[in-house]
Amino acid sequence: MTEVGGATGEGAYPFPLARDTYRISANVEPASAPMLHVGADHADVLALRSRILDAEPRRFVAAPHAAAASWDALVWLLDRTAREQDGVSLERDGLRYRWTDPRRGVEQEFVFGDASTLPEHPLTFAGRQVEEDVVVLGARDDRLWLDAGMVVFASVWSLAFDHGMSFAELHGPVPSPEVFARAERFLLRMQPGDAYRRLNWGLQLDDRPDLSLDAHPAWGPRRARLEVHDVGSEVHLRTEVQHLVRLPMSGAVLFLIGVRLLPLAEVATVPAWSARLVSVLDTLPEEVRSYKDLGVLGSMAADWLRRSSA
Amino acid sequence: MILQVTAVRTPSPGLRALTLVGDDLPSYPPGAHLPVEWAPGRVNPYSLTGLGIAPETYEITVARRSGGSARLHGLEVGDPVHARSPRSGFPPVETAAHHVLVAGGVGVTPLLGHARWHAFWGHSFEVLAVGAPHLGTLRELGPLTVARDRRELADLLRPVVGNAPWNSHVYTCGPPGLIAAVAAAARAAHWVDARIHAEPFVHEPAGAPFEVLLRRSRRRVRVAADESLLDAVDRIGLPAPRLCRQGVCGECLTTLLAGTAEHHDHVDAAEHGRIAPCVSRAAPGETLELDL
Repeated sequence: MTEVGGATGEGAYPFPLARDTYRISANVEPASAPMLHVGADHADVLALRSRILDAEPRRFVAAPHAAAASWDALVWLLDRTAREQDGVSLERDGLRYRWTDPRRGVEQEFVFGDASTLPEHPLTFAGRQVEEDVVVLGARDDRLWLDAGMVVFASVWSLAFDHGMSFAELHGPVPSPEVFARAERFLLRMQPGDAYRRLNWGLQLDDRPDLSLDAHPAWGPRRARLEVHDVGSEVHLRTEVQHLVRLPMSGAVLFLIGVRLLPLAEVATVPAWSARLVSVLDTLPEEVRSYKDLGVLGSMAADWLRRSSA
Repeated sequence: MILQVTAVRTPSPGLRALTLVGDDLPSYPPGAHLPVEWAPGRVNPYSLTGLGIAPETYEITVARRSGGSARLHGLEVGDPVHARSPRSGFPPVETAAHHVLVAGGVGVTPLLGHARWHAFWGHSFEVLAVGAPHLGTLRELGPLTVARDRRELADLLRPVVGNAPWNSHVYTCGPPGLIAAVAAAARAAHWVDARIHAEPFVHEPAGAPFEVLLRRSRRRVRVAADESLLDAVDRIGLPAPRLCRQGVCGECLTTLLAGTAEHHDHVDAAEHGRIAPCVSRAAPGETLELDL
């Protein structure tokens, strides 16, 4: 989850800021492979995801009407993984599938749509196979609805709280509602199989991926006190690599969130990134600064980056 | 993608059911259509009638009209077919307590996909059909009521929408008159519009060639047999608004200044002295004059 930097090459960090100023926008672009991340700590991340889910079952939700979309998401995710990752395979004979991930010794046969052939809900089975959090948005009445998901690394939101909300309600706390109204119309026009990518970002005090409201007692107090000893190693840039896929069988929108954390010390090793992050933090509109909770943390990070590049 | 015809059937006179195969066919949602490129740059959408879950084949049923459908009626086993990825247009509402599918004529095609989907997932559904092919298949999938004519369908429909469980949804595919009748019956039974869905026949643009006089731009354009009036206006570089290209959205409506048209739209353009150039044409032997 935490990685070393590097602006180029295989596995380069997806630095999220394209300009010297930042405004909230839908900033989607067509997705390209790989859509699913495999970090050096792949096995650890997957184990952490399972640990959080098993300890707190409310990190998974699924409405009864999301059954087809959940199976659709499962097959899309396993197929995508098999296409992108060496050694992993998804074989199919009619509606019968065999999923094999030799890296983790996982082998599972199942029959599409038959819940009795999987040890758990298709969405949690899928969510344990990938580093990304998984959300299924159903399309009805010209709107999107949060029908199902497995989210263990939420950034200051709660899947269980948001379950059943419309797209507009989900984005209620975001300062620019018109951006999300446009985004929803865009997503509803996506055709089966279409895939887009967007990046979101924030700053945090440590390398904890799980900043869910569910786990707020574990990280909130320190964040409130802004208890930092060594800014460069403790404060992290949090980039969320988000993918939006129109699932082919059900027409639901699959929303994937991959969390990539980079300590400021690593940001500082790429002068262009450091300068851009400083510029963005210095010019952040007040409502965005407040929404991202960067009131003090933003200036602290910018000051540190300025000093370390001097 | 390039597909190949592996079976040709005639479910009823004037209809051709084609089975197509290809490599790694994409899945598709119920009610999706397959854009078939029947001549270079000429694409017609046909409803996919199978189950779109990892399909081994694509099934379409084509009514013989002119242009693209005539071309598809000439296909034989082994012939190649150029197609684009399936597009979704008429999906079911997954939260419905019960799905009522009303099919008129070849309008059954997208609803056949719906029926297969509901049967697969064990959803509650029923089909009412009038003048529709594929009745044998529908009967195997679930409850089917067949009406002799439109009037009998209206009689059969009333108790269905009256007794359906709360949060049932109705989906109609067929001619505009049928769509209007079903919507009226559902509204009379206190259904809200959000539970009433319809897909009009996707009308093919082709027909006999004719001439159009565009008064404002002082141009005369000849519309070929295999192009729409809108395409012809495009061809000479005149900006004309449009959206759905199916006579549904009303974006392209233009005032008809003179001439008798054959209206194929679903927005009552004729009543307002207008025409939908995306689907409508001149009546035989007529020249149209438009305010363009």
